[in-house]
Amino acid sequence: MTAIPIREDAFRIRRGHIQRRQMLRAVPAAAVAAGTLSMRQVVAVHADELRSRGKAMILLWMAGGPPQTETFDPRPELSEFGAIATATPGIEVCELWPEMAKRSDDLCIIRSMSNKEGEHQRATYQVHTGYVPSGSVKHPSIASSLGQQLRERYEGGDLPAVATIGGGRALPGAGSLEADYEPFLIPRPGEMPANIRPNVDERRYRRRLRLTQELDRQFGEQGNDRIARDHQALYQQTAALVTSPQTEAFELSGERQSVVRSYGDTDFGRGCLLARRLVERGVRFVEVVSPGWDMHDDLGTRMREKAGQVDQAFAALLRDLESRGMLDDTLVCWMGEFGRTPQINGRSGRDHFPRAFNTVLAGCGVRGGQVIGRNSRDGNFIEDRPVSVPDLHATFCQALEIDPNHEHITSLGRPMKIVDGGEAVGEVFSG
Amino acid sequence: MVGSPFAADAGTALTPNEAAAEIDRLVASELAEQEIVPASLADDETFLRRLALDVAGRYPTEGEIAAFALDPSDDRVGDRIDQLLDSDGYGDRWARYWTATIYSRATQTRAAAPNRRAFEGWLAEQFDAGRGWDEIVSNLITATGNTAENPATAFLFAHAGETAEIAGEASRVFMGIQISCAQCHDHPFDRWKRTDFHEFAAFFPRVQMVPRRDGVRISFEVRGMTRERTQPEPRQLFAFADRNRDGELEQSEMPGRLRQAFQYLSRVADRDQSGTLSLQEVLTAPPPPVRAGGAMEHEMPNLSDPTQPGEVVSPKLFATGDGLPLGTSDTERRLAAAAYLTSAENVWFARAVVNRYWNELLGEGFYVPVDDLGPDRAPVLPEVLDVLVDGFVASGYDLRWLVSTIAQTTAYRRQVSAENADYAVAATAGLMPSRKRGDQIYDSILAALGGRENRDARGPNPTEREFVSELFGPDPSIATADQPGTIPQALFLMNAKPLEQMLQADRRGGLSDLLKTAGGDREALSKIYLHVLGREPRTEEVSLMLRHVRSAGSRPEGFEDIVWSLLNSAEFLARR
Repeated sequence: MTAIPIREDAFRIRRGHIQRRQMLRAVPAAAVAAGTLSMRQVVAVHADELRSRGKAMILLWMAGGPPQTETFDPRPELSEFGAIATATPGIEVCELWPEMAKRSDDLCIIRSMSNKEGEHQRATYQVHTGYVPSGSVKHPSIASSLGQQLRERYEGGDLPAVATIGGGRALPGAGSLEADYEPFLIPRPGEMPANIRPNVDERRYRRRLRLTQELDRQFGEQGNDRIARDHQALYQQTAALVTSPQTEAFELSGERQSVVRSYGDTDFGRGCLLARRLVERGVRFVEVVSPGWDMHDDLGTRMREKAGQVDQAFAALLRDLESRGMLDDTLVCWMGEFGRTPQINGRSGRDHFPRAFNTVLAGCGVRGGQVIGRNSRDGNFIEDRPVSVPDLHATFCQALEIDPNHEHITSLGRPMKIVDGGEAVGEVFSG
Repeated sequence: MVGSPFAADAGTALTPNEAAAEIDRLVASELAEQEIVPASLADDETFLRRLALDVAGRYPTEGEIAAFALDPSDDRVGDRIDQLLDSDGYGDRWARYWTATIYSRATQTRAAAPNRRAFEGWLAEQFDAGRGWDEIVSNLITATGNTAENPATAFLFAHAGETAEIAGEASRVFMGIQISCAQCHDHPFDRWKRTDFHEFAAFFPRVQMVPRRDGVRISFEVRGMTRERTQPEPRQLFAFADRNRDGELEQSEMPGRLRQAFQYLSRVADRDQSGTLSLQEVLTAPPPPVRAGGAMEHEMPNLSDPTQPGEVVSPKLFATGDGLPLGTSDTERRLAAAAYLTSAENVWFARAVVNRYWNELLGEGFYVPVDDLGPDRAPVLPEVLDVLVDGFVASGYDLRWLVSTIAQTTAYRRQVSAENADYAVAATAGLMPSRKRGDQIYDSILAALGGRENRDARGPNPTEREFVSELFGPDPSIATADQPGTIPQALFLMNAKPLEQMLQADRRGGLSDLLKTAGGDREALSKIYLHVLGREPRTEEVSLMLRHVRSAGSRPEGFEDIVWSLLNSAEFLARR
């Protein structure tokens, strides 16, 4: 058994769960004295933590831009919908969110998001990357940046580090990061992703792979060793995915019916359930997309439909994560690319409004039962504690214990920070 | 007014054959000096396959391979290149390259996407017709009219007509100079500064995208803003000037023409003193005094205080120093920008395209990355670059000349080898190992499985080719070596239903015909190798594969497995 030097990272297990000192007590004193410890010992002592613990994030993305007034910053005087009390004294949300109201003690509502981008494509890009779009640089999505950092820190399974459920083609991907962190797209939750099942039985599939492996070996010997090696590495990783028992994660039939029902019989509900299943198996960042929030007309009807779906699924996700002991390590964020105008337009809808909108955080050390920031009574201005997109990204980093100043190098040799210029919102965690 | 200089000065141009010989001489002496032993030449079959793929985007037919092998002529390579350059595939192949180059960085993908196919078709026509690169680029920069009717507007449209984006991308794509970083700050290591960027941008401030609604379809008209425009109606002003759609007009969003009007409005209408104007504030403001234009100029933003007016800069091309006075029209500016950019005096214009083509054919450019040139970067083999640039300019920016010359060099004929990869001149000592891009992979799949291109596309749904191109990418400005394969790519080749159906031995026309007509297993194997990899199997592969057939569930199953394994091999995806 080879002894390897202790790496700090190996101990960054769930915060407050296993202290480093406790852990050291459990291993031979000689190993401690030598400053070394075999990896197998570490794994043996804390196998569960190393595998399934480790932080992760789920982003619930309301594509099109949800109105703040009919979600978590209610304005009965500006809306056809009233406000309801929540489980937290003093906090009200729009009446369309009764399930979320019951879980308010988990929620940190930020009502003072403030941004400048009010066009869908630009805003979607900027809210995902923290940078405005530019032809000369492809910025990585925060999903890929965080997925990479987390995957490097914690043990992974056979599944990709980053996944996007529903929609996804219009969202930024890994950009200038390695292709390993390109979000794995799952267009329809509940169905197997495209091409993940072989067309022949496993025995024949493995014979085919062996032929390819032999071809690559010979090809590599003819001056193509790097290409052949990279190709085999990718094929082994992909074959591991294809033949992995973990792909059962994509099938929801293994879940108890009561759990499936609790998320609701909708694509978004199934997406949230799938997100939990993926995180459980080591996927580090999952984005679940809810389309249809661009409500320029007939907002009332559309809000009833969309809020009904998301309210049930979001609340079920929090409950499910909590009951499995995963909420302490899983950051959940609900948001869209911007908010909507406080005034109703001529078609009973609301238009794009990036200046003042809201977002919700839960889990992973976030202090629930609080509201941060204040929008003016008429909904037009942030009156207290404006939070920018980089601030929010820095807050994600703090929750996940990632250095927001970590730089990766773009293909042009210029360094790019995970978050450029933001500052974490400390109140999210304090108290 | 700028003249139209698209005429070749053919008298001084070297022929591709002569230029290639000169390059061979320079390369040989460089390799000798560095004591590098280059890889040996590729055999005829490998060379012809490489050539057909590179020039015309397809594998050679069995007939072409036989004819090439039997051709006794001294100039059989040149002849073959000429035939391929005149064949149907040439224009399409390079149109796909340039379309992907431009669209990979489009900042307005959603709106501009429907024009992509028309643009690719238009480019293919330009290449097939032998139009000079200078003329093609000039058309892209000076294009006007409806985006749905004039495909040449695609470059401007892809960047929403935005001044800074047009300038940054025109510089990067057509000159290989990454000056857009200087938009916001001077970089200590870069020669060209903020002012240089903004002076170049000053050629484009009057480019305008005007939405046109034709029934349900929305298109845009690219046109030049003129000084006679009257003060816009407030709602139009918002639609036009509130570029980030936050419902607030800010000083920094205002094009120069509207700055003064904005400053006036801010004084009289900014009731909440926010420094920005909402639609409500503009609607209720007293009308501003009508101004007589003269301010449609590009302003370099004031960095210390962005709310203050920037510095008005006049158009100037940093690379040559050519410029125009303030006040010139959009037409004059863009014609001049095109003329300066594509002039022989601007060495970066020819160098950029020569560098891209060298990279595309040999696997590594003189400059790496392929779009980062400039006076502060040192190219490898500068004399070779000069031969190509001089010849290309003298040929009248003839892209066929460029392809033909590079393809006739000895360097291009070498076997793939990473043996000398540590040397900067490695690409001339052996073809650099690299991967095919998506559209080449699509062609390879069709050739491998005996399929025919399905050009069906319903509305926004991609065609098969577009799907595969998108899946495999990458952006041609990024070296394929820097873009490792992805899991969805591998899943597609391993398990996609349509591919498995195409390779099934009971499908008519495909493997079943091949197995029936082939004299025996050995011959069937040869034909399969030829289709999938474009070469004969080696001895050790023959024994490996025939052993597999014998041990498989059935003969057809065994051969299906072989096709699958070749299709999923590293070699299938590699340029060779």
